[in-house]
Formats: sequence, C-alpha cells, structure tokens
Amino acid sequence: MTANDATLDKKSEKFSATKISWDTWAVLAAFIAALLIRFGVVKHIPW
Amino acid sequence: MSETFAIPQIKQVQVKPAQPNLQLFRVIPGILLLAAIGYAGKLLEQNVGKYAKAHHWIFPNIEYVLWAILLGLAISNTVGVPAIFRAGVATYEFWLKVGIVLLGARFLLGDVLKLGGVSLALVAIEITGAIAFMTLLGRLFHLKPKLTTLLAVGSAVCGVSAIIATQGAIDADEEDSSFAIAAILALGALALFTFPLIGHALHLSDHAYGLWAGLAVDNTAEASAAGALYSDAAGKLAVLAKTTRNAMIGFVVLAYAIYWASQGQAKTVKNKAAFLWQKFPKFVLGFLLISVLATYHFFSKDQVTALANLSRWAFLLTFAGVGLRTNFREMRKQGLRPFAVGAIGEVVIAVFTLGLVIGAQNIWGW
Repeated sequence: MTANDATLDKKSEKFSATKISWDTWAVLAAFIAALLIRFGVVKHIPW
Repeated sequence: MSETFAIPQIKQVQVKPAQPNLQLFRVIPGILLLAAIGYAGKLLEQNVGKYAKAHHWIFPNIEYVLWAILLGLAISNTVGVPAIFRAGVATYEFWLKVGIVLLGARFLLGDVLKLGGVSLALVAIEITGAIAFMTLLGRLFHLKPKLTTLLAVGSAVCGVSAIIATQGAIDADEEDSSFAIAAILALGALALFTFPLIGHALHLSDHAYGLWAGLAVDNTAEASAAGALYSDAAGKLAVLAKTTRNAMIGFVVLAYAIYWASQGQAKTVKNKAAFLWQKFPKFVLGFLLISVLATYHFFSKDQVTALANLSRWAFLLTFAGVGLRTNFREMRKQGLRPFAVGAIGEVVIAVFTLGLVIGAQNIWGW
C-alpha cells in the first residue's frame, strides 16, 4: 500500500461514517453470492 | 515527513473513496486489472510447471498466489499503476473481506471454536506482549506518545485498519498515522517473502505456520497471502488467527481512546457499546455466520465446494492488489526511522509468536 491508499482508506472511513462501510458491503456481497449458490441460481463455480 | 506523504497523484486525478454502491464505473478498470493479473498468475501456475517438466528443467512449483503478487509488483515498480486503474485496485480489501466471509463455509463451527480457542489464547498473549514491547520501544527511541500508540496498535492488532481506527479515536496527527502505516506495510511486504522461507527452514507444520503467519503478520491481506504461499491449509489457519486478532480491534481502540481522553488529549467516548460496534470488523461476523450455516448443513457438499472456489477467486483479486499497491520507491521515501522502530518491534514479535506457536505445537502435537 502506498501513502495514496492509506489516505484513501482514511477518507473512506470518514466518508463511510454515514454510509454503508466496505466491511458491510463485503458481507452483503458474500451472502448474496452464498444464497445464489444455495438456491441453485449458480450451480457450479470452477477453479 | 509531511512532504514525504504528500499525495500529488490524488490531487491530480481527484480519486475519491471507491464505495461499491457508488462510482461503479470508476472502479471497473481497476477490478478488471486485478482479475487479469490474478488469472495470469493462475495460468502461469498451471503452465510454467508443465513446460519446465516437458523440457526437463528443474523449476520450483510456484503457486498462483506468488505469481499474482510478483506480476503486480513488476507492474507497480516499473510502469506504475495508471490513474484510471487506481480506484479499482483500491477495492482489493473489499475482495479480501468477501473471500474471508465465504471461507467460513469451509470451517464447521466446532473447528472454529476448537481452533479459535487456541488461537484466542495465543492472540491475547500476542496483543499484550506486542503492545507492551512497542510502547517500551517507542519510549526508548523518544517517539511521540501518540505515534507510539499507533505503532503499538498496528503491530498488535491488525495493521492499517487498526491504525486508522485508532487515529480517529485518539485525535492523532495524520502524519503520525502515515508514519505508522508506512512502517507496518513495508514490513508486511518483507514478511511475504521471509515467512515462508523461515517456515520451510524450521519444517513447521501447516497448522503451526498458519497460526504463526496469522499472529505475526500485521495487515490482513499480507497475513492471508503469507499463509497461502506456504499451503492451502496454512492459508486457512492464517486467516482464522488473523480474523481472531481483527475481532479484538474494537476493544483495544476503546481502551486507548479512554486512556487518551483521561489524559485530556482526545474526545470522551460517550456510548461505549456504539463505539465498539462502529469499530468492530463486520466481516468477522459474516465469517462466523457462514460457518454456523455450514455446520447446520444449510449448504450441500457441492455448494460448499462452490463457495470455497468463489472464495479463492476473491483472494486471487486480493493478491494481485497486494502486488500492485506495493511500491518500493514509495517505501524508500518514508525514511529509515519508522522502518527501524517497526523492524525491531516486528522481528521481536515474530520471534516471540514463533516461540508461542512452537510451544503450542509441542503441547497439542500439531
């Protein structure tokens, strides 16, 4: 990470005080993906 | 030092925080770059070994994790990351957290409680020891008290996130937090290359090495990568140990906020429960919830495999981001002083946690 990224993180922290945080978005995205797999909308993820 | 941390690129291109719900189009190029580098790493893993074998060359088996990091490093340190990609590249932590939550499907609750119990005890010892040692080191080097606090929290808990959370809570200078972040990240980059070598030299088991990486490497992305560079199993354990450390962030930051407020040098914390919730990393709860669902067979075996594969894809983007954001020229500019203080602290913490893990390995026979 550069100083740029660190500053972005700080700005993000302030910005997210009134919005949904990165953390929460990540959890929501992961759960939506898990539900799509659970209910068969996405059947297979190759690796 | 403020000159060192000037951010001309941000001023030039007006990069704003890339929230996933906003500015979607701004982040797409960078995300595509992460995906391209990560996928190239995966292709290199599959094909370089085959090619070397076909030509009877002796070539080590390099995993996609290292290829993705090396490709990212090569770009970042030669041509640099063009402005159009920067907002998307900054989403690597988002992918890391998505990957960790999905990884919960591979841990049954019993495993989490069993491993979590051991790692929780080791984490408590690590946090206490690291804070005490870094505080002592800060005093010896006559660092500013708040800078010492930031370095102590960064080394003891979870790198950049902890430093940023603490900076806001104790009203520390921006310069101090940049100082601490630079030291923690430079050392995290070094750990990526040194930890697997030390682990192999000491013949550490996957279990012991994974715990060590999760305890000693400070930033979550580097801890996950350092674990995955050793083996898949070590990567899982590194994430578990690091997640346990992350869960402590709210408590440590709250303790420091109360201390600095009592010194009249920070705002008083009025609602402690709200403060803890605000600072608590939500992805830890997501990880545990997915683990509970997997334990109660909410997912079939094939679905758990699909979730694990999706987690790997998310980590692929993360590891590409780890390489892309590491710029050795920027690190050199930070100067020797924060690096020296951080390096002494990190080496002592790494040796201390290695001792803890080897002791635990002998007791539990991992």
